[in-house]
Amino acid sequence: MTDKHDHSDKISCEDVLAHLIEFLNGEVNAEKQAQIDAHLQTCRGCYSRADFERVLKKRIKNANSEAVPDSLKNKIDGLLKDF
Amino acid sequence: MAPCIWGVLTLADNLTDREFFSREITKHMESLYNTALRLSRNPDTAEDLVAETVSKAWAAFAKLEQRDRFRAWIFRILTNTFISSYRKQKTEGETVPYVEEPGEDDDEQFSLFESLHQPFLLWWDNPEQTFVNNLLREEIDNAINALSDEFKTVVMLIEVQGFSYEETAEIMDVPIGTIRSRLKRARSKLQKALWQEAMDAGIRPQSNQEGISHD
Repeated sequence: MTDKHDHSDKISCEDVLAHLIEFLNGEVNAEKQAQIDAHLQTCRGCYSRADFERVLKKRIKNANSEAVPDSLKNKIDGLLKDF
Repeated sequence: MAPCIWGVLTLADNLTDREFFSREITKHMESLYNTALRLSRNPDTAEDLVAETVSKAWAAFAKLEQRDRFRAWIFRILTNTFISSYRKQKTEGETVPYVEEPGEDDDEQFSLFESLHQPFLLWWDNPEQTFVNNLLREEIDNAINALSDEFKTVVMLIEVQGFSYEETAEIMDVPIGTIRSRLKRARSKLQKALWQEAMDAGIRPQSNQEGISHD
């Protein structure tokens, strides 16, 4: 990420990495988002890092997708009928 | 006559409290269960936690002024119920404390990508993507479960459930700056645990290249 790519997008690799997680979580403002988007299109190193974090995030998310057991569905249905 | 979009919206707005509540519970059941399961680490306890959350939510539903905030509101009830009623039960015999903001530590700086991004490996593969694609579900489970409850909760709310930092701050009743800090540290701890699991499993890239040091 200390490569020699064109920095005309006006944001440094260090700045991208500092905001990368917030960027991936949709927590940066529109201007920063546009800057990082533009940077990732021209910087292979930062793109690789962002892609890695994105895939890891997806794997973590997918590791938390157990189906709701029928026993719980029945329990909640019973509660909702009693309300 | 087919209802127009406004008719549909009006119909939705005219749901009774009970109808609205039932619809929302059904919609969010899987998210609530998975969060409860991760926090309690026990399917039976997770069921009890969700059921108690639903009961408490219905009892307090009249106080919910903004229905569009239902999801964050019920997750707050879930996490509070876990802390007040279930955390002690879970931690009997084991210690995963729900403590407030331990001091800074080296984990904050750990990056799995940088640990994997070894220049000498690049000529034969993309080690970062290979690593993350080959992670076993069990390894991810172990890494998440090894987090303390405060870090696990922030990972579940933001990374898994997609809550904003602001919503997460409200759910956990802490300042948003604390959420940013916790997430940063939680991600670092999680990645360090994944790295350690890989090392324990025998993935030692440096062992393939004698004479190359990786401090």
